[in-house]
Amino acid sequence: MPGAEPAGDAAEPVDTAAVADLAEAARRHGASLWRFAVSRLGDPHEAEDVVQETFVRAQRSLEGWRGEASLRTWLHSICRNVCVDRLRARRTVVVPLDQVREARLGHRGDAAGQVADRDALRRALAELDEDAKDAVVLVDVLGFSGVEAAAVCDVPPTTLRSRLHRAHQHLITALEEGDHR
Amino acid sequence: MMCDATRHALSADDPGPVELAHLAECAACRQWAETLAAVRRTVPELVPAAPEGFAERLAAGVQAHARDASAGAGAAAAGAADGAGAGPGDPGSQAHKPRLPWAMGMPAAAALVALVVAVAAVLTQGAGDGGDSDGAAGDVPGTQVLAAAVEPLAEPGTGYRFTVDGSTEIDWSTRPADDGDPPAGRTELPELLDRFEELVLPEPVDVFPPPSREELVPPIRNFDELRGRMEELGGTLDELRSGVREELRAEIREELERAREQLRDRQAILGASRLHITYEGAGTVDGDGNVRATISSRLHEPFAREETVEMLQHDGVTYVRRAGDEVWIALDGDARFRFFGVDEAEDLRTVLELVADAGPVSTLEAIERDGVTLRRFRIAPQVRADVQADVDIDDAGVLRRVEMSTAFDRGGADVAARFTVTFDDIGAGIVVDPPQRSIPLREAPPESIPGTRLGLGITIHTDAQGEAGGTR
Repeated sequence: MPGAEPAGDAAEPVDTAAVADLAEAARRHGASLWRFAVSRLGDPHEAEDVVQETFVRAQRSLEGWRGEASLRTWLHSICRNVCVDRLRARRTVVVPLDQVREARLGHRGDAAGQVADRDALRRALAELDEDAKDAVVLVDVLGFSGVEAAAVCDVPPTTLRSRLHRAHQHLITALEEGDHR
Repeated sequence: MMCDATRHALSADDPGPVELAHLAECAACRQWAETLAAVRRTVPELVPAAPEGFAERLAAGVQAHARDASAGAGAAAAGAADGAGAGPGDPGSQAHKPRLPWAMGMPAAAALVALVVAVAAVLTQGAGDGGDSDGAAGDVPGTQVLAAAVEPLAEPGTGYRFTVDGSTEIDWSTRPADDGDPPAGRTELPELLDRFEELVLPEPVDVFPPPSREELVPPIRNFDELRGRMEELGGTLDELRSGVREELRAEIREELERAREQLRDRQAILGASRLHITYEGAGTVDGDGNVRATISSRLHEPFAREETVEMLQHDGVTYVRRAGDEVWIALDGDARFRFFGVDEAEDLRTVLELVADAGPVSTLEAIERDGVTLRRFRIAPQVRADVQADVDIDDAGVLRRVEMSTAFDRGGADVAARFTVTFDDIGAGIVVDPPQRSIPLREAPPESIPGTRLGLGITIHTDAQGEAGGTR
């Protein structure tokens, strides 16, 4: 899948040495965490701050962590909580216009059909509620398994699967409607 | 859309994979599966990848942070062990300060740069204000007047160069070398602050704690001190009292006059049996949903004012600005901006007044005015809009109603703005030519809408079915 993150230690048993080495974890999972955060917040600068805060929190909580989930899952779970806290603190979301403009200008080189598809998907992705979007980003973008994504979102795997299915249906509908326009 | 059998299978608690054989037979499911594959292929491209080198910078910051925390814990433990309490343990608490912002560079570093520049500016300002002819400083004894400039280092993203007083250069590195220390010849932030202090002040001064009220305004302890203070200010007690009284009187008079004027306007509006307004305008809704319009309003006697407003819809937000102004004002969800009737005229007035008052602001600001919430900020005028437009045209080709409404979600973030423009109750006032791609609306006869005179020209691009917002 193009653009997807490598699975990393998704299926590996817990490695306590790796846990102690948060710097190595940052190297391995930093980019994935940033993508997750930016998909949530829409602001690249704030995403950097969120990833930083994720590791500060991880550092504080390291002693209490019992390794029930993989390190990657645990870090993404913390990152999600940080994002939720940030979104709660926001009253009004302001998306820098430069960013909007860049996003639009970024497609100039694409074929018209692809641009239409991407625009339709981008709009549909933005319309998803946060839970459904998390499911799509974790599974389709970052390469998490359904069980891992469920652990990040703190929901049963069946719930995650249902969210993912709902999200896919929404995106498919958007793409099909885009084709018919 | 997939077939019922597959939908049923996928909606089960534990769905299995869709049979390949079934996909080969069922065109609907095959189409669905192909679209799903396209979705899953494309979605990752829509989420931006992390900036180059981000993970490495992060790792360096985490490493430094973990090292500091570890040293702090060790020192604190040593302090506790030797019974000295706060003695040897103190460095530990210092070392616990996160160093991540330093190591990560932007944007946390940008905040620090701003801080440094602000500190320099404060110091420079303080010195400049109070300096006298012999070069002695004003507020801070002995302070020299310095000018500080900041620019990025030649290698992008590595740090900043501060030029102090036009000659002294300090390179501040925002990125550590491989061993976690700053590159040779470059300073860390604490050193940078020290250097600033050395350059700007002869002795270290803690610029961060705000001065106490007593420092700012020495308390007056007795009547003699009060008298002395007033004499310093250049007047007797009676003179001061009289001056204050006059000032207050003038303020009250001004306030009353303003209130009377507002009341007169309001009564005039409410009391007017025939509000006399002329609107003229033109706008477009193109196939992409962009809306642009220019609307001129002329309020006849007793108001006798004329304004032209430009309207723009972008990402679900409608912006208005007076023609020629730099600042657009964004109207939020509760504001309705209609063009007929007394209440609407009042809304229009409010908007226009705000347009007139608005200065160029880049920060989002909410304004409550007469129950209408407005937000204002600087916006590039050439931005494009996404908008839904509904147009009701009856069988006789009479335009009954135009509603342009938007609700957009940008980048996954809820934008707290929704706006509906309704040209309502147009009735027989405007007759639409038979539906075609571009429909000019003829000007309404002035007498057709009681209480108003209307001159409104709007061009709405529609598709062959007469629906606005179609392809063009």
